[in-house]
Amino acid sequence: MAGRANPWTTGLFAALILLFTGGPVLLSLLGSLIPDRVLLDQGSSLFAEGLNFDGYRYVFTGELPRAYQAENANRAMISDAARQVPASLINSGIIALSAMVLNILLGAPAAFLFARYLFPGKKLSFLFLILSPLVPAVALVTPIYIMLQSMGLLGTRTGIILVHTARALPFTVLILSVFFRKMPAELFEAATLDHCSRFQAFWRIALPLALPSIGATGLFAFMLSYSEYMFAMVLSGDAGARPVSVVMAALARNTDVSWSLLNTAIFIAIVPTLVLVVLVWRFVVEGLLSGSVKG
Amino acid sequence: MASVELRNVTKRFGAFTAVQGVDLSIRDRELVVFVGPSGCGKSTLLRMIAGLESISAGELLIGGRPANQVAAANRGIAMVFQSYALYPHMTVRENMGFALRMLGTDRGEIERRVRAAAATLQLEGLLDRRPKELSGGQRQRVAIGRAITREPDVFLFDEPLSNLDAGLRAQMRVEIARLHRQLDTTMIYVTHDQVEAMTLAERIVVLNGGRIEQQGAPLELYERPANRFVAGFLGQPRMNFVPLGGTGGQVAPWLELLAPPGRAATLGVRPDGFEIHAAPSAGTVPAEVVLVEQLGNVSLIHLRIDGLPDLLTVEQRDKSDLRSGDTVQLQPQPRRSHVFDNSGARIDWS
Repeated sequence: MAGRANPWTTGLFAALILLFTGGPVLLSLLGSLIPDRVLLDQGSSLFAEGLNFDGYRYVFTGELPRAYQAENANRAMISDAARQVPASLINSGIIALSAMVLNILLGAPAAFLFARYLFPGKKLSFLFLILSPLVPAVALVTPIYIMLQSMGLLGTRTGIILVHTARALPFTVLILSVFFRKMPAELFEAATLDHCSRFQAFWRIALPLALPSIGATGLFAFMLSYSEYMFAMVLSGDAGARPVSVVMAALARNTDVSWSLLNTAIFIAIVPTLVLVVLVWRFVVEGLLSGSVKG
Repeated sequence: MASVELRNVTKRFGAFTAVQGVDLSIRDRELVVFVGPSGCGKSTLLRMIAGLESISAGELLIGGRPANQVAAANRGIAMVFQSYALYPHMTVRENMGFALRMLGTDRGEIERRVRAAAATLQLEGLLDRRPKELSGGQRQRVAIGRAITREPDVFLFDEPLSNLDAGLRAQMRVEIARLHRQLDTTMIYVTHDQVEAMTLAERIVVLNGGRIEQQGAPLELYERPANRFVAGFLGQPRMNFVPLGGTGGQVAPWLELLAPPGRAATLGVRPDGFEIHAAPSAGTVPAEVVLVEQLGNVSLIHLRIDGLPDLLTVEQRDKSDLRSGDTVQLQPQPRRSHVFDNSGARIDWS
């Protein structure tokens, strides 16, 4: 190493990064706790009326915020979409977790085979898998819509889960196969001599060693699904299968919507990812570090 | 315990032939060392015996039974890898018992065998550690322990000591020799280190270019190398080779002294096979001292003889009084001189 970076520069960059990543989250939290009146009035201080949880109460219980009732102009500002947020969160959770689990279940064995074994058509199928994300998603919307329609999966979570799984799978396989390829071949030769079948070598040797990477790629698949909008919008229909990305878009499209309500919905939508990142990230980082100090 | 027999075994990787028509018969309980430079096919040969590489042509018999088509796990062999190949996520105990667990051996028996192997290798205190908490030598011992618990008929070692430092290597070498006596099992050991080969082997198989150059007891190979390659490969420092070119040119006095047959093309003398004299006499050739290396118990003297392409290395007991620039008279001992023909094959004469 050629000397350490200036601590001031490091601090500055860290602060900038924090500002761009944490800033919006903080703003939406703040915005959700302050009534519109105060938010939009440049004359008064932000905390003039204190903080209140009216937005959250409305989203979860449907109880109208007092402020809107008093002003008698609440109809346009209150959006029905905000009431859909809790249900859509559950939908998103189910969809994203399922896509994540399916990605790991399908992607990890596939990646292992691609990384460690020769089979006819290996190159071609791998190329196909890796290049498939290059097809613009827009071009696929219609064919996939028709396909799911014929399968009777329109407006269901299952349909969206399948599409999200397929969208993330190339990345899962690519990332994990790189990881499996880095494992020393002798480890698997030893396993072969120790009476392991291919599946046992995967299950008992490769998988435990790859857990951090699997955690990271699983998280990636979750995020991809959680934030996906186009397919979710087209395939969820109007029914109860709508994930949070679709509901948030509907909420944001309403030009008259209350700012504090929009911010409430935004913050609620962020929470599950934050929780998951905190839970999984520590495990992922710990795993990566423990792997790096072999020698 | 089992014998291993190779009949005309060949391994091809595409157009490249790694092992070519090897015939070899390893007796039950024998410790055989495959030695040769990198790329000579020794590891490939071992991996074919292990079942990690398929056999392109020829026949492999383990314990008298054809093994070409037998799966690696069912050949009754255990292998110790160069990189140890321990499972990083398992403890020493789990590593050593893994194969037995996969076979469905009952827990008590696994524990008994693991404990026995651990006792043999002084690993008792380390059974609950993971590989990354062990030193290189300890890891190597665990790798050997993993092989022992399987109670195989044949042990295969693939350069097991090359990742260790010199001191530890010498120590583990002794331990492997002791282990062979104690377990009394067939062992096949691959190394590129001729010292390991000389010290461990009951029989050395020298490989080069995918073929066996010579096989036999270590000292037999050292004293009567079948060809120039074996002569040059075994022994440290290396044997000196002097081209004779008909009448011998500069070293003509040696030819008169040794009187080898006319087809002799190269003279080979080990560093300890020369005599250094102060005054010229019959059979001596003048040589200039280029460098003297004092190793304490011996001295290595590098000499130049005019007209010879390479420097000669001569080993003397104790320390040497010679200095660079001195001129001495050099004479090979007839008993310790080898001659090789144009093709490099040994010529027996006396």
